[in-house]
Parts: sequence; C-alpha cells; structure tokens
Amino acid sequence: MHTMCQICAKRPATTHLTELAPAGGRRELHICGQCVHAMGLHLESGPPAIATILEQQGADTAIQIDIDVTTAAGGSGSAAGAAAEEGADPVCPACGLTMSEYASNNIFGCSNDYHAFGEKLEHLLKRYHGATRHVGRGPLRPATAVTAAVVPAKGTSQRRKLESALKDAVARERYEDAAAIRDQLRTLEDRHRAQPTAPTPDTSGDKPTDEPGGGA
Amino acid sequence: MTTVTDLVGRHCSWLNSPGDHGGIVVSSRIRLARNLAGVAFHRKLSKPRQQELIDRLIAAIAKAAPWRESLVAHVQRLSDAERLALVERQLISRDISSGKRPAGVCVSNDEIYSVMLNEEDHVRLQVIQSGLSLSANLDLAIALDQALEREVEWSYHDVYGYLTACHTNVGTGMRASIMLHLPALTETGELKQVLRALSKLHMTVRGTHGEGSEAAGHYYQVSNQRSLGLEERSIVDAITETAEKIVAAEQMARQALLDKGRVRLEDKVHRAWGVLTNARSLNTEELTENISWVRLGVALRVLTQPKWAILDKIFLQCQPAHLQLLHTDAEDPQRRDPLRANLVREWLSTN
Repeated sequence: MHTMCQICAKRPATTHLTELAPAGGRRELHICGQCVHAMGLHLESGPPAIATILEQQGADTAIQIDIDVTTAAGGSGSAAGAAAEEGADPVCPACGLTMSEYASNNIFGCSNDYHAFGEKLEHLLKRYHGATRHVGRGPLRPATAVTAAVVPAKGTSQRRKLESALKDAVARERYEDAAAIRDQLRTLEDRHRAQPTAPTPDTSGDKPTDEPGGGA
Repeated sequence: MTTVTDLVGRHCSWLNSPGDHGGIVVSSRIRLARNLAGVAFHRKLSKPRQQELIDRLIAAIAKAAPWRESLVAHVQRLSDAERLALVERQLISRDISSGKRPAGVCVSNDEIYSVMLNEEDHVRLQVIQSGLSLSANLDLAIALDQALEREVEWSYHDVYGYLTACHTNVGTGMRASIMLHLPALTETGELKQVLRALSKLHMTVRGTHGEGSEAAGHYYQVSNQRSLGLEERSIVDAITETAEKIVAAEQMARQALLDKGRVRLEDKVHRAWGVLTNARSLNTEELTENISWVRLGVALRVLTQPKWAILDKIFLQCQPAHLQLLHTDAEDPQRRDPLRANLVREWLSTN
C-alpha cells in the first residue's frame, strides 16, 4: 500500500501526519522524503503542524489539530505507530478489539482496552501526552467494584483505601505498618489477576446488560 | 421545551462582541469528555443500546442540570437545517450532526451549557461564554460534572484518569479553547511564527468557522493538545496565558498596520464595508471575509459604525442553516445569497 506524496504527487509518501480535531474528524497529510527535505521540516523536534506546512506551500491555511505523527523511521505518537511496533497485537478480552483495529480510527471499543493494550498503550500515551499518569481531579465518590471489573488493575475502593493508607504510613514514617499494608495490597493484586475480566460491551446487538451506577 | 427554531432567532451569549481586548478574544470554551462505567464505547455498542444510553443520560441531566429551561433533542429526529444550525452555534459537532448514529443534545436556554450524548464519548459537556472566561467556565463545568456524578458513575481509572474513547482525550478529558480574531497577524504574515511556537508548547490552533472553511474570517481557536499528566487548572492557566500573548502580538500587528500601512488598511476596511452595504448577492465566504475586515475597522475606529451587536447578529444569523430556519424560501443557496445580501444591507443601514 503506497500513499502518494500530497505535495509533489510523484513519489510514495514516507511521512504521514494525522491531526484530530477535538470535536472529532481528522486531517491527514502524506509527504515523501524528498519533499520533507525540500521543505526543511525537522521531524526529530516533534510533529510539524499540517497548517504550517500547507501555509508554507501556499495551500490553504486549514488547521485541524491534535498532532499525531508517524514517520517511516519509526513513528512518534500515533496509534498506528504503536501498533506497528514489534510484538503481538493485543486483544481486549472484554470487547474483542485489537490494538491494530484501534489504530485504524482511534476509537476504543470499551474502557477495558486501556488495561488490555498494556504497554503499547502506555507508549502511545507517553508519546502523545508526554505522561502516563493522570494528575487532575477525579470523581467525588470512589470507583465501585463494577468499574474495577472493567479495569481490574487499579479500580477498587479497597485498593484505593490501602494505597492511601500506605502513603499515609510512609509519610508518618511508620514503616512496619507500611510493610503490612504493602503485603495486603499484593494479596489483593494476586486475587485480581486470578479473576476473569467482566465482558461488559454489547457485541451481540440486543443482549440486555445491567449498567451499574445509574440512579436514573 | 425550547426548540432549535427558538434558539436560532436569538442572540447567542458566547458571542457578545467586542468580548475582551477590543474584539480579539471572542469566546472561551471548556469541554469535558466523560463515559459511563461499565458501558462500551459506541464502536462496540449496538444502535438500540446507544439509544438507551442517550435516554438514560437525558434523564440524568434533567435531574442534575443547573438550568431551568433547555433544548433537549435526539439529533436524528431533527431536520438537516436544525442540525446544521446547532453546528453553526457551536453546540454540536459535525460528527453527530451527520446523523449516522443516534445522538442527543441538551442545551441550556442561555446556551452557556451544552451536552452532547453519544458523540465520540458518551458525554461531552461544554461550557462556553464570551471573552476570556476559561477559569469561570471550568468552575461551571466541574459543578455540572459533579452534579451528574450523583446520577451516574463515570469510567475512571486511578492511573489514567477519566477514560475516553480516544487516547488523545484521556486523563482530564478536558479541552480548553479560546476563540481569537486575528486579522492583523494573518495580514502581516506573523501568524506562522505564532503557530510554530504553539505546537512546541503542545497547544493547537485551528480555524473555527466550520470544517473546510479553515480560518475563514481570521478566527482561530487555541486549545490544549495534552489532556493527561496536567491538572485542569494548569491547562486553563497555560491556555489563558498563551491567548494573552497572542492578543499582545495581534495588538502590535494592528498598530503596525496603522503606523506603516494605514492607507492599505483603510482601503481594505472600506472596501469590505462597500461590499456589505452594496452587494445584491453574498455567499458565506464573502460575508465572513468582509465582516472580518469591518470588525477590525470598528475595533481600530477606522469605521464609526456599525455597532458590535449588529456585527454579531450578521455573523450568527446569516449562516446557511440560520437563514433556512428563519426565512421561508431559503433552502436553495441561489436564493439564499440574495437574501443574505438584503439582510446585511438592511441591518447595516438601521445601525
């Protein structure tokens, strides 16, 4: 599959820029190595904005962003790049989506994909956001066991309580308590690993699923 | 219950020119993406289940909402013109306006709040107001988010934060954006440098006046690219600071146009005024381009009229779907263009 360069329309494109609009929609620009060179684009210093390139080319000043870049050399920040890396294509046991299917249009099947895609997803997050940990605000009430079932690794309120107690113990330099809490956390993790993931997504079409948490 | 036709006849609260900084800052918007715990994203959810999801969320919003009156609609049940009018008022995205899958929308009567249901994420709540108002909008968005949280459970992960249908929104689920009117930076060509600097700061800029029309009318939206690993407040502060820097650059560019190319500037502004007050047929592009120059002319006092409110009215109500809903016989663009020209002449003369 060779996409032609959209600048010269003569050579196969080796650099593929995809920009996603926050509200949805996508914009792509495919460029060949020679045009990248001719335009003096510095891909190593991060993805250039499509708008900047188009403007440089005297084309329209269209700008629809959130930049994802994959270069022939390896890729930096797009799902397509992450999926193309070596190793098996992870599949979500809950919804059946694979990482490469995700890469095709950047829409997850269910929230369990975040768990199922593991390290590949972490790479993707790292490249796009420069971070893999949320530091902003969270819900007022702790996640219930149902959320935990969708995302088994981190969600239970019990785990949260223990983690918070652990932090507290360390802060107060009560190291013996901290060690005991750490053991409890490990036991909890082992138990989670033994549990199968709850298949919540509706793939059959009309199967009724009890949705949790709703008070409607 | 408010209808789309009720809305389109009205002034729109996020468009209250001159906004801030002499018409440069038009509006500020906070968007939060949220999904229900235990429910798949639309890609793996059947249409009937998507419909159920929408109904359930509409009920939850009715309980949680801070507003009294609102528009509540199933997008697929609206006419093409009604959907497009909501896009023109920046209340729904083009994605859900296509009607390819079930979607819902709730809009407070003042249009400060709007909530899209079954967009890319289950819930996209938006708070938009005129001027530099990101911080206030964040407060309102958080309050609505917390009120909704009493009715439903959000999909939240201790490490990744709010889980979203695309990895580009995970974490805060927040997009903070400020809409700027930058005719002088565009004219002097300095905008390119500004755009380059922004992409290094992981901020993005895009044209606002609908897809395909690009930066028509010299309107741009500055927004955060990263949603994970940053606190909401710091994102808001960073976008606000950046917008203020761009405003300063636009002000300098405006001054430079006055100092170095006054005749050229005056010529552009007066030609635009000439077109708007004389044309017998105006398409959207011509209107958008010319209204932008008139806007700049008013801001720089090159023109003594019209009033800002008239410019806003033209900007909003001369858009294609607005014309279709407010006037009979405006479905065909060939009839719409003369109608648009007539309205613009009339409104500018009654200034």
